Amino acid sequence: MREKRRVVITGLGVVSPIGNGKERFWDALVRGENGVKKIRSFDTRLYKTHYGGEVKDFKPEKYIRNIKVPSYCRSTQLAMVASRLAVEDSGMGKVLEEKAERERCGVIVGSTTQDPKLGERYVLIWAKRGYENTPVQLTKTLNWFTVGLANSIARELNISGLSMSIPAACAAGNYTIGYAFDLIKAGRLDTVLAGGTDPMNQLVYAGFNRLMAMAPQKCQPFDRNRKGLIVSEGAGVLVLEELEHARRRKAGIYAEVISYGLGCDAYHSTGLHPEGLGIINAVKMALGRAGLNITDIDYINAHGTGTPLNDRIETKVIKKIFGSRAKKIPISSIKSMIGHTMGAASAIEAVACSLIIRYGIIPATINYVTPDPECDLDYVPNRPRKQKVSIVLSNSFGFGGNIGVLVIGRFNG
Amino acid sequence: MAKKRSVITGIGVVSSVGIGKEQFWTSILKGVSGINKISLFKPFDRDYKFAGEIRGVDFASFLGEKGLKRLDRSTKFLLIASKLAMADAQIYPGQKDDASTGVVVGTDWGNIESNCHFHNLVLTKGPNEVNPMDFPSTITNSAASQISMRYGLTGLNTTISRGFVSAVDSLGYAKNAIQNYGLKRVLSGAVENLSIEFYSVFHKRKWLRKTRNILDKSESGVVLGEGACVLVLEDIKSALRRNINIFAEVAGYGFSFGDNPASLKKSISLALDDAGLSPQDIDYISANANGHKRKDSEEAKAIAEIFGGNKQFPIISTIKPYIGECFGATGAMQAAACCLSLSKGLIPPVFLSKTKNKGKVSRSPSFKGIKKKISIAMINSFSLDGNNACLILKRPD
Repeated sequence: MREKRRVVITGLGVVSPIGNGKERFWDALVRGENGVKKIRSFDTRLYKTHYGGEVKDFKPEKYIRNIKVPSYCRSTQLAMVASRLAVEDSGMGKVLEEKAERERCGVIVGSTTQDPKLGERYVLIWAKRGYENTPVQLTKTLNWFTVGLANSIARELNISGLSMSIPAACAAGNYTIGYAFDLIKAGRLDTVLAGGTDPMNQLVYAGFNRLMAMAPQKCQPFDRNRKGLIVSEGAGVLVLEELEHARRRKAGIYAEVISYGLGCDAYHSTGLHPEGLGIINAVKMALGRAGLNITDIDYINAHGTGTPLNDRIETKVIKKIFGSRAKKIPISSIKSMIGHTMGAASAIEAVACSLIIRYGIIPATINYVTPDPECDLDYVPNRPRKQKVSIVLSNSFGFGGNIGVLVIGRFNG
Repeated sequence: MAKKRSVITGIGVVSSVGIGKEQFWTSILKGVSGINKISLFKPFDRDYKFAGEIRGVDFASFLGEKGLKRLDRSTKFLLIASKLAMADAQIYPGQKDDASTGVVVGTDWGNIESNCHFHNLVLTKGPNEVNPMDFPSTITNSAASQISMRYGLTGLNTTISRGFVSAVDSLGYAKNAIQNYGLKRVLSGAVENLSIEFYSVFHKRKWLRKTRNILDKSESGVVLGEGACVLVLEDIKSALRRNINIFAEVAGYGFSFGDNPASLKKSISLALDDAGLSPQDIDYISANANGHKRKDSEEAKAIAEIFGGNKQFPIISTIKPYIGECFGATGAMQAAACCLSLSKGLIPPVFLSKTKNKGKVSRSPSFKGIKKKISIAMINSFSLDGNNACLILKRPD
């Protein structure tokens, strides 16, 4: 029988409201920086809230070299820059110069929808000039398909194994990493750029505003007075690589992808199942596939959006799954600093988890002021904690009850 | 340990040539075309007026009145196809093993109409003019989520977007889910719907043709289509235990990225490798052939190169003259047609090659299809911008 293939993380690329590139991002996470500011990319006067997490100092032209991406395709740009950063970080650039390697490399990116900033362009032109006047150039520059995001990255980096999108809403990152893990394990590919992306845009900002799900100024996961989520933008991309492939080229290894699990609430378009049906199934699947026990998990990266409902149910479900151990596991939500980057969220969180494993520091849940009797676990409030972490569980829950959880761990040779 | 095998035990189709597998099958066997003048919206260019539009569906008779108003066209198509597929496979939701049934849907633009409508209101009328209930359907995974919610299927719920080839990847993903996630079965399919947005972008991209006949070589371009097709993929052990009819086994799946003939060939050979088959084994190819001249000739070339050495050149036909290019949904309809060909020993026209003539288009004199027992069918699905996928189905032994 063929030796079991293992999958490791060898490159990290991140573009976020608290910093671009893994160094700045990690530094900000440890310092507990708040990336949520007044929105600058559009006029918020008509909205009930005015804050969000926007990416600053973004210079895509430094990273996008081969294909032309207009500035109005921000979702694509964010993902492409994160991909370039991940490839550079992993030293895969040289590897991809070989045709055989390119054919065994894939791109799987998640988002909530087709590039919404490109969509905005189409919608405004159609509103003003009618469908018949759709500019030919607009349809030609970049395709507006959901998979267009991934195709652009594959073209830019000359990758020819696979280009795919898994639009699993706010859980997209974990879905893409999970499927990449499966494809590498099955021997279909050797390396995959997996991640997620979403830009600040009015479609999503209006949607959450109208759902009354947004906090006015800050994201306070698990705090008694939490008021909702903060809409943000960003992209996270990880280089997943088959272990022997990584070893042969002496690549640095951040962590090993150990398992993942999917579940579906089949309950509500926007809200979680009150008993956490999908989450429980997903965690069971993740632990079961890897032969892990609940005692093996020593940190939980929470979905922790900061909405009253999410944090209460997430806490309840963690207690259900982990029993008396729940109180002993540190849990934190980096959304307290970044806000909710939608399709990018779980990918950015996977980048964070890889760094947490490498450096042995757990970032805090910031903005935590008042304990909530219904959320009574250890949320690592306000101050990061030095603690060696071996295996982490990263939760992500998306619209439509799409649940994806990821288990990554220290690589032990 | 032997790999788990996935078989197809149910088919649900909503197409411009009929709803339900019987109507769909009868139509394509007879060569009935669903291509007609577009009535859903006003095409701004009178020269491009044909599409495979689905007409006269009484949605309420399939789905009931409740909640129907909030569902967009794609979602309604998909829900009907799911319902039909489950009935065909004799699966009745609401039973205790709903957790072992998953949902995987291929769609790339199924949400585009809802998405643009919502976005337009926000940008032109203001954020307070939108109904928050309409927000979830702007998101690409919305239609798939509705299946799980309506039928209580909690196994997993994934949407795959890969442009024109989304459907085949959805089937590939479902096969993986049965192998690795311990699911008994997965509703796997695809959906897309016609809309003015779809038409506008394809028109300006110069991907459309004026004539309704995609075999007319005087011009290049596709005729748009729409619809949904859902297949029930099931772990073969579960299917045998239930003693249910098996249409086909999903034997192989291959993918590649690259807008060139070499990449098409790659996806075909990867599918053959995955199935452990050689080109000699393929009896029939359901071609991608959609009327786009360059892509069609690239496909013909790829087929000729891979299968040129065959003692018996595979029979090749396309169903797109009847249903049009249904974008992300087409591959699932091709798969449904192949399932029926494998189980009934009949191959629908139009034939692109009956003999070893290097993939040269030769229209069949008869539109009645041919009687021939085939064992292995291959589905080609290639996009106009680089996404390629190939699926191999096998008659159960």
